[in-house]
Amino acid sequence: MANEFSIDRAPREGVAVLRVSGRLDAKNAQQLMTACQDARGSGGGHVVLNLADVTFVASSGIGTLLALTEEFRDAGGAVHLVSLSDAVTSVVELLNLRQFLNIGVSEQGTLEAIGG
Amino acid sequence: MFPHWSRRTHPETTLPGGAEQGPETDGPREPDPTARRALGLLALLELSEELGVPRDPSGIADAALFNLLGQYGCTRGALWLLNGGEGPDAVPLRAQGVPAELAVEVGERWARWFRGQGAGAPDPVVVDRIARLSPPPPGVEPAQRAELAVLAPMTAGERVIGILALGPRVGAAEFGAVELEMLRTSLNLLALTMENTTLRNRDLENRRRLRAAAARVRELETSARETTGSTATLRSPVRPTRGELRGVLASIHDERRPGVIAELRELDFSSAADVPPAMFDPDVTKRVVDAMLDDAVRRAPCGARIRLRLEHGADSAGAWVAVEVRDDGPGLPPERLRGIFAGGATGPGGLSLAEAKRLAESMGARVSADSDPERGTVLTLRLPAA
Repeated sequence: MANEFSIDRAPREGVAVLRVSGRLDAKNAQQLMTACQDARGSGGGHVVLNLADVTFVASSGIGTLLALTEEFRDAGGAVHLVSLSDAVTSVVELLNLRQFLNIGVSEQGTLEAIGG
Repeated sequence: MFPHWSRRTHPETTLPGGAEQGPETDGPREPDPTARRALGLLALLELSEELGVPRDPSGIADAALFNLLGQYGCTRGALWLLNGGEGPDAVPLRAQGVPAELAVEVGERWARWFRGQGAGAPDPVVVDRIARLSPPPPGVEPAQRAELAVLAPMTAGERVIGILALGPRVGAAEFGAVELEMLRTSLNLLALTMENTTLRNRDLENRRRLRAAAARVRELETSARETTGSTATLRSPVRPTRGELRGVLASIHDERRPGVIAELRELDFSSAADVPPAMFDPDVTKRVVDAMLDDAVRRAPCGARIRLRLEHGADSAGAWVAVEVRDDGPGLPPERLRGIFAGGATGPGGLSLAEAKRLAESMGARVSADSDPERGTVLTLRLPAA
């Protein structure tokens, strides 16, 4: 898996699915915020973030996921994190954030559950 | 105090039927303190690395705020720089999850409070704890409205140069002594970076001013050797030629930005598409735009954004290209707007707006001003398209 950060939007109607890869840190925190905010409109306030290819998540990356979760929640929607890589899972577990973040197993299952 | 924080999965965002929510846990559990401390140290190292990358103050604020949100498990926070000069005391650099107007109010109240704490670097404040004082500090109420849990000063020596605030921690964990000590360390690092950035920007601005002053002296010497008559400004040779303005403006933006940032304002540059060439003298244009920027920096309050923009259009007199300097400050009342070109106030470049207007007219251009209390003020240099 490459360390270079990228966000690819899956070609689909309805709820946006953003596939994130590489290192999630301060250099790209703002890029992720903006991508999620831009994608919010197409899915009734819901966005799915696929984190399967995230190779490293820094504190700023976790801060971004927390801020996004709260921001979307306040607006009546949600950011759904799916297919967490081991790198993301270990930090989420260590910080005991699983119950705060909306974590799903797969893109498809989460999309079906939210009707997207 | 923050009831919705105790329940971390909101009913409206829970997936129907509990499907696809990932492995269940046995409910909230205490994190391993050793692991948390190790992670805190790791976050501090990350912050050190992230602040090592040259950024402007807004970029530094972004990097630091998201790092600290992640480090402490918070979803909202804000960072202010304190202004040593005129204008508002606290300039919000970044507010995440805190409405802008409330961020201004919180910053103002706590700036006064931290500065009033006497000699030495004030300690971070846990809002819940300080709210028990009788009477509580006046900043407590807006901080509670903003759902902020801790406010911490950034100090350089014994001077408070900024404030950081964080919301409650996910899982209702408290900010204990260890967390506050680590926060203090992070803020020392942040303060050092902010100070270095400000000093570097001021140094760049001082060099620019020295270069401008030296050019002015050379020009005055030349004028003195020539015959008497009109003012030195108007006697400079003006030679409009056909050229592209975008590169000239980009260069002015790059040169002026550090100085504008050092004054706690933002400066950005943008251009309309397909701007045609214009007839202008690059040196004269630079001096006029410098004077327009000086005026905007002098007028717009700390925290204002100044936009340098290249536009084009056409009217009955023909096609034109325009340079706009727009600020989002409070705007000017009509009587001040009418007199904007009458005053003799000069910026660091040594040119007043009145002189800049005459200089622009000497190359066939014109300078105008417009202002609106809602949208700020815009100064426009309009040049004939070539």
